[in-house]
Amino acid sequence: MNIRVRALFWVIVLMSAVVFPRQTAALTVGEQAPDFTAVDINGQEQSWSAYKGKYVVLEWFNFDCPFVKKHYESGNMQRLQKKYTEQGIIWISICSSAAGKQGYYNPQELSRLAQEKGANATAVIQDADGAIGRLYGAKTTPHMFIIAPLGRLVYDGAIDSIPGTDQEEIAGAINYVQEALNALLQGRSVAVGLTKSYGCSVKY
Amino acid sequence: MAKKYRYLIGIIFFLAVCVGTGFAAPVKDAHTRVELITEVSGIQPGRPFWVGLHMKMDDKWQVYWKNPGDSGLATVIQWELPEGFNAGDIQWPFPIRMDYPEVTSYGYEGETILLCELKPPAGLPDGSVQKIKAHVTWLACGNICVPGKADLSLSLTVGLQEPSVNEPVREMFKKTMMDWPLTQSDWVVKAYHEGEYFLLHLMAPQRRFSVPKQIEFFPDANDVIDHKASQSFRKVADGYDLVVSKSSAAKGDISQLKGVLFLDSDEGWQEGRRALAVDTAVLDKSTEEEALEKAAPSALNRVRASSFPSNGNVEK
Repeated sequence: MNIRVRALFWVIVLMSAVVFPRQTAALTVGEQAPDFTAVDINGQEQSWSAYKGKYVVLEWFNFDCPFVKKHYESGNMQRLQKKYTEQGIIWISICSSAAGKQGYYNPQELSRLAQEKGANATAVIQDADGAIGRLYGAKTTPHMFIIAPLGRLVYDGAIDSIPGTDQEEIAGAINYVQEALNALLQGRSVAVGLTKSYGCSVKY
Repeated sequence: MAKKYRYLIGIIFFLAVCVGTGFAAPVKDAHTRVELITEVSGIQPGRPFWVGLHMKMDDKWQVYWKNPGDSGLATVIQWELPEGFNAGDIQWPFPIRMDYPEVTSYGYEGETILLCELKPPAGLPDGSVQKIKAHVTWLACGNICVPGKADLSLSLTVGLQEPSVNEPVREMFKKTMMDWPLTQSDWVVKAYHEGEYFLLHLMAPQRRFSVPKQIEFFPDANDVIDHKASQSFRKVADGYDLVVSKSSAAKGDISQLKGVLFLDSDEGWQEGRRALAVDTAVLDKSTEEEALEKAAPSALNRVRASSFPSNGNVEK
């Protein structure tokens, strides 16, 4: 390497350390997902470790975000929740909207809305301080994660392959969460473990 | 009742005026006023013309570029055209980078014009009125996001004579076109893998070039770079080096970088144009440089020097 290249190399190394604290998801697919503890909207304590030995789906939502509305008003999200919780999968829906921001509801309101929409999640968590959202690096609503029985993160990304707010898009989209869960339930590995989530920004 | 009729007459009169001037009534939805505009009063058979979707957003509201980044959604225009008409793709002006606490998106604030070239068929009868319709959908975000939609139309009269030009609209179109990425330039862009980063080496066509306030790469594809990470550039002997973080969601090895390079300076890349289209292979830097160094100690510099003026087109 000539001097110029070497100098550039060090510039990049230094910049990577100083200028670019890597802001990508705090987690890496294939590695251990962090544990969390929170009280859900029914006052039950929820944590990943309580579900050790099961597949756990984490779904970030904000009922007022048009991208989330697409999946709830079409019934797509409730259908997925029902289908997989019936097969023993734990599904936790998390709202990280801060107080005063879009999608923020107190636990009672959130409980009522979830009921009205016919949500079938195992638990719903109001994460108004954003602690779990930041821990997982949740960027958008929806943003989906799947954790394997021993705590390994096996999926991080979008609900499906067509970013948009139009319900008609759902039929033609590849649902990555469904693909991943079907593979896992059949004892196969997840083909697509990392995608780019789409939607509204999480209103931390 | 009389008042109501007066109102109706007013609308009819307004619509009649619209038909005559090539303007259609604007629609306001999702904090955005949208309107189809043309610079010509009428159209000629077989002669392409520009139609602009003029979007004016409320203060602090944004709409999105073709790649919206981490959140958001690109504006979509679905044309419904008279028989024989063809519509070209949206010509996107360069976007701005919009940073939110956890995400970074690409789009527009204030107002923007998305231009499409429409080509009418050759056999249009003189004096006929052609109705251009567009179903437009977009997402506008302020503190919250709201999807917008509008059905817009434009009635244009066919004339065999040169149509008259609406100068204010022509000026708006010209200004917008200045924000289109240059597809022909004397700059040479090379991209290299540098571990978790892409290094873009931008070679200037002449020895003297200014130091801009900022250089930003906007990728066409959504999962190539880490939108949130800051991009960093520095001036080097023959141009600039720009370092861009790779996306952790990047699928496989990225062998091609396609997008727009924005340069924040008055003179821009050249002739005041601040956006440059990039479509270049990503090379393995160490391999290429080592091979060149083995061939001759200063071969690399010679190659670079000779490639300055010759390879003028960044499009490959």
